[in-house]
Amino acid sequence: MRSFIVFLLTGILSFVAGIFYPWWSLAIVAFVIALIFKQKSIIAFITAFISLFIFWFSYSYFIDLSNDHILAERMSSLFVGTNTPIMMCLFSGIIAGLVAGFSALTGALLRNKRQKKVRSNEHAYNSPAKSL
Amino acid sequence: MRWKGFFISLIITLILIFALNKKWGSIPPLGKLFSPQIGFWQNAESVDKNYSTQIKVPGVKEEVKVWLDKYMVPHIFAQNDFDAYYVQGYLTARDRLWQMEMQARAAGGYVSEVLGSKSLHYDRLQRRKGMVSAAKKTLAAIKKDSATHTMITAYTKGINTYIQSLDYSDYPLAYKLLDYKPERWTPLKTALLVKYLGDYLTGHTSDLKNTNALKHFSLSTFNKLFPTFPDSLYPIIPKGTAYYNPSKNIKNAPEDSLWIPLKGIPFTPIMPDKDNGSNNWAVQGDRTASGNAILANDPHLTLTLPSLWYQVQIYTPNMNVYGVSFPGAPGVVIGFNDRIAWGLTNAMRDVRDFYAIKFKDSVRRRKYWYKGEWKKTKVKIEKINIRNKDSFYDTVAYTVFGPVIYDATFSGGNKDFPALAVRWTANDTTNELKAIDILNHANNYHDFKEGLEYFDNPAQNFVFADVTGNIGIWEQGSFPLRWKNQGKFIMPGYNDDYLWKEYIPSKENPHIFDPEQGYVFSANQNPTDSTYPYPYFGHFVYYRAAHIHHFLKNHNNISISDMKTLQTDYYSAFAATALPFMLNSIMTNQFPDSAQRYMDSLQSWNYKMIPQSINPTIFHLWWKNFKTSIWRDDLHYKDSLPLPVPTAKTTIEWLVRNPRMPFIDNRNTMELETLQSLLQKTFLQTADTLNQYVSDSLREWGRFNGTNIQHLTGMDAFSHNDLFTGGSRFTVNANKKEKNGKSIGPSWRMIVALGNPIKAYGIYPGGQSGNPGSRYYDNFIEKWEKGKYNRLQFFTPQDSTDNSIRYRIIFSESKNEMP
Repeated sequence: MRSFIVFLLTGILSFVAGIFYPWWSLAIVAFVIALIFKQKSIIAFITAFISLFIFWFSYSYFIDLSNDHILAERMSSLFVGTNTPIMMCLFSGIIAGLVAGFSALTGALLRNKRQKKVRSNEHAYNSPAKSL
Repeated sequence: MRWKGFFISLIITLILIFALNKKWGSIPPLGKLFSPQIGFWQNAESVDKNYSTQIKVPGVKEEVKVWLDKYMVPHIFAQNDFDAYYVQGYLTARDRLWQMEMQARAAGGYVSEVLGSKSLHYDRLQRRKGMVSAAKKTLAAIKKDSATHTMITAYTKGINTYIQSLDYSDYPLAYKLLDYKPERWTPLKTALLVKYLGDYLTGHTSDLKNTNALKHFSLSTFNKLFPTFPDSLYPIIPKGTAYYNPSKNIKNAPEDSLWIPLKGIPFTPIMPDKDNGSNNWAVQGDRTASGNAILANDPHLTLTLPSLWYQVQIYTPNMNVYGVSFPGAPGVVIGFNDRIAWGLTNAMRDVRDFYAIKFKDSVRRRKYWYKGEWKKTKVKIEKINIRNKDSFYDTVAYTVFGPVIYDATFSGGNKDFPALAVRWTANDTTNELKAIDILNHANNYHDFKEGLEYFDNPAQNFVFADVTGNIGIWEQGSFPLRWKNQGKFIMPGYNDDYLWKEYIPSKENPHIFDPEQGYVFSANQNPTDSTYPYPYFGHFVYYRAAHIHHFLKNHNNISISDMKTLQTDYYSAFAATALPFMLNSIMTNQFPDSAQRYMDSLQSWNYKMIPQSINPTIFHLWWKNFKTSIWRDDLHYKDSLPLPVPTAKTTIEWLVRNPRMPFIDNRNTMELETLQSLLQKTFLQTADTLNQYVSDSLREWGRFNGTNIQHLTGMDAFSHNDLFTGGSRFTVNANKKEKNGKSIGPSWRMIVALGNPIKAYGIYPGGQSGNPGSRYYDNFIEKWEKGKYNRLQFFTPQDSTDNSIRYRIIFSESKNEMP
């Protein structure tokens, strides 16, 4: 459930941020959300990756359909030398997914580190050595 | 341990963002580019997009209505000229912004700023030609005239209003791929584009090679190799037309007129292809089926995407004009209005001469030897910005002749030859926009002539027809008053004896109105026969003119479909001249089987260079090999100076005149070559080449010589290459491939029947949109390839319910400040 909320929030807020800020604002969104919501690091990566992959992939796929593949065919012939428009949608998805994924991973690692630090501080406070 | 993980992850994230947000070599910033919110996906226009809209813009005086027809051609209905050109600028920018900016950069030498140091040599050349200073002078003339001032101001405002409405997601695709931003438009850029046409169409020169040729040939041999008037000729002004006495005296050449510089010129300058050519003609009403005059024009230029041309109709209370415009310049360049039609072909006359300059210090170039003393040059420092590098400063010296293009600091790699200044009509102060303005508004032949007065460079053959059935043609431009051969070779720059003193009065330029033959035409041939009083020379071509002449002479009751037939005609008058002579000169039945089959095929050929046939391929290769075998040995010497090569026409006419002409023999062999032995040998060579192709379908002319239409960036993904077309540079439906793989061909085919209403047809190989993500990017290409036409919709305000109108845009004043 939490993962689903993170998935939705990352996607929606990245979209909103993308209207006002550069494309890489999605990295900040993914990072901040991973800081706020407690998740295993690997789960944070996967959730953010899937969220942004689906967002960029489906958005570009939708544009590609209404464009009758005209531009994506040309772009795929430019980048990979074949007429495979779907590749361009996949590229888009992977680029956004990777950036969001690593950014979320960074956020999650930071969060988990800090929590662990807080926990270990508590531990230190109660340790016999400290009480000496 | 965890910290380490965090930092690694952080660094990967930052590197990813950095790498995807930056251009690497030719790889664009991928993150930005692939974002569906702002990247190239935003250029992928929905195929069902509704282009109807209302646009509020600052500065229009009254509401402007625009109808877009099914071909996306805008029909602009404005209450005054200012509003009309404003909206023309806005819409041209909407469809062609990147192209017009790139071409303005190319004109003035500002390409390195966006493409990097690989364009530096090109940029320097443009600056050294004087393009920017010429454009500045021309801009001053444009601004001085109130009509052209309005045109250029309004057009510029329209473009800039559009540019200001853009953010990254709206940028044309090429900006995203090359990663830079659109710049504000300026009137200077429009002036530069006008000069660019001059550069493109009059920038070719043989003076340097000709000068080298005089080191190896006598003048009389040179004149035989490169005659100005060939044996047979169908000039623009029909033979036998009487010319009145010239108002100017033609000076005799100075005593030392065959001055030859001590050293030859060891390099070939970079310049436009001389085979940029065109056809136009007009037929009087009494020779047409409908009784109305018909005018046709097809300018042959390097075919590119986005297309060179942009169609538009402009309607105001005192003008209703339709045709093609040049993106970046206001008005209609080739087209028709409700009274007249006009079309252009290039005049091909040489208007660019070189003078050898002796500098006191060949590197500093502050003084040059002139009239017995050291005279100061005017020095211009040209700053060339280079992407990701320090700017380059180039010093260009200006003499009384003009700018010094080639000197010790810019010489194609060799410093051991005289510096060369150029005198060129493109460097003059001119106002071609004024000519466009008058032609667009013209009511009759009188107005037409008045407009031509302002057209100086590039000199063009203007064909004319009007709704009352009149026709005419003018070769118009500024032409220097020369003595015979003046400017054919490099001239001495040590005094003003050789400098142009005057121009031929424009009223005495070759022209004819309603000639007896009932038609006029031009196809880059000589404007006149040798009885024209003023000497001239140029790069004239002949065979297209010959075929057009015969076609028009032999047809009565001419219809629009006859004109389409002629414009798309693949008949080669050259092959029809050369091939029978070649076949008659050899034994045609004694080749080995592997060659005989090509010979048999060729003998049944009708000289049509159609794409489905292998005969054009056989003939093309055979002629090329044969011609090379005649001239190669005679045009290569130890000094390896580049020399000019005689034309196909000169070659064949000489051979017909004298089948034992001396150049047939190869100087480098002991044996005496004969016409027969050369033809036989080169035919076998041709057969060998042809046998390397595995099947006849690969030998078909359309495969062998198909048309390439390249995107201006050269990216194949946005180009249309290998179209199945026929033709050669000798056919009316012309098709020539340059060495760089680009094709020269009919960049716009137009036919106008001047009845009531006016009926017009036209097509160019591209589409109205410059956006590779639009369905209107290349939607004309298939039809063009097949020789089909679009009906051009010539509206009046009463046609508002016409069913070919697809979308409507309304421009009205916004309250914002003027941009």
